[in-house]
Amino acid sequence: MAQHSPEAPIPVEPEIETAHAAEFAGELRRVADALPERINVDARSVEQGLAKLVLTLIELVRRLLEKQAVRRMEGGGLTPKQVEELGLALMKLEEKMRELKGQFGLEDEDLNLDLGPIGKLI
Amino acid sequence: MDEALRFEDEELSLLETLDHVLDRGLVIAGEVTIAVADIDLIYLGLNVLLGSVETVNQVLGGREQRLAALGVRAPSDEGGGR
Amino acid sequence: MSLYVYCLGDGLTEAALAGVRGLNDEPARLFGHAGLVAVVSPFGEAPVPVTRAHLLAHNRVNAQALASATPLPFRFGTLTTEERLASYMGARAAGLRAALARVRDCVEMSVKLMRETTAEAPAAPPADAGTAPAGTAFLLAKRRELLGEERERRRAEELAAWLERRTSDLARESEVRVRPSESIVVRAAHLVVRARLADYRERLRALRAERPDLRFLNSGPWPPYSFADADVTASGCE
Repeated sequence: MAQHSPEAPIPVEPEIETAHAAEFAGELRRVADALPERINVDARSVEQGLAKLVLTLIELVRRLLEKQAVRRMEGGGLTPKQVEELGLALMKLEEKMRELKGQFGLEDEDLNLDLGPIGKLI
Repeated sequence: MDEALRFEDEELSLLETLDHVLDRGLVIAGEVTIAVADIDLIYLGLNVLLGSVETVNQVLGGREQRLAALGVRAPSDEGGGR
Repeated sequence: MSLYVYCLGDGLTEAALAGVRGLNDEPARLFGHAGLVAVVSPFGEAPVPVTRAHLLAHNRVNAQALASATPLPFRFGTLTTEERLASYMGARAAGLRAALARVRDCVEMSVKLMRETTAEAPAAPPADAGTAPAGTAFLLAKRRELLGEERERRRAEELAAWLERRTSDLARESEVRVRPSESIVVRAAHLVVRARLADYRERLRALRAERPDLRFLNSGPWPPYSFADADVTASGCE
């Protein structure tokens, strides 16, 4: 099968090899889940799609803010009072986002937050 | 038990295929030529696909309604689930 | 009339297709333009439902083409007309030929890696966490979380580097995606020359044996889905 023999070509259907079919199937199913659904024009779907987009952007910014806050705390440039205020503000923001996600029935997985190579920047 | 294993392998095969053919490969740019109809059909379980497949236009409503309309009993209900 | 397009090449012949059937059991045929050949079959209404039968048909036709000469596969669900296809092939001829040269004699093999679920205990909160006020405790917890994420990212990248090191002599090219926060942490596509496919498979067996802490999913051979786009879009002509 490995030989390249143009005289007698044998169709080579892709094969799968794994010792963990169930686990991989579960993972790939989740990824298939995250792929865009068909484009529906009804109002509910448009609203849902828009919510996903907006919440994704907000989540990304929120995580960036958290990271920056932690860095500043580690850097020692903040007074304890400032650290506390910053922490409280971010805590409230996280809570708010949890509410919003809940209202739209969205989980973190739905928001497609994994940016791949760009993810290193966040 | 045997049938369950084959089911899993076949589903994995389809999922792995999806992973390759849906968002990679050549695209005829500038055209809306790629029209993916309903991916739900795949991971609702092969139960749907191995039987007669309703054309997408006949299936209405949200995911739960589609499940009910197709009379789907997800084969991995006890085990993996979604 | 709508055509379903499977793949595109320059060495394909009708004989090579050997009457293979595509979607809706329609026979696949060749469509030639600008010195290139596309494999097509008639198709009815858009959109193309993503069903088991259609996926298998798509794979079947592409596998048939792959058996004789490595083609550039289209995405699943690509519908077009003869006019649009001819226009595409004419405008992109140079880029498509370059892409074909890039993948000539090769097939795509896929490796996905999952870590064995480690029973890693979550990092214990530092002694002072209980006494810290809410906002500060929150930030301290975030810091621990971020450090954990950093560790995961590093480990995922090390894994990808290890795979790359151990396969680079057998893969003409590789395309790797690292997703530290997912279970499938590394996804690699390898462009492997057909003649070295047996060696490649042997190498993967060795790697699996070497790393019992990892879960492997290997698949292939595929037509080069992961190596089809770049050159063509870079050609700039439209």
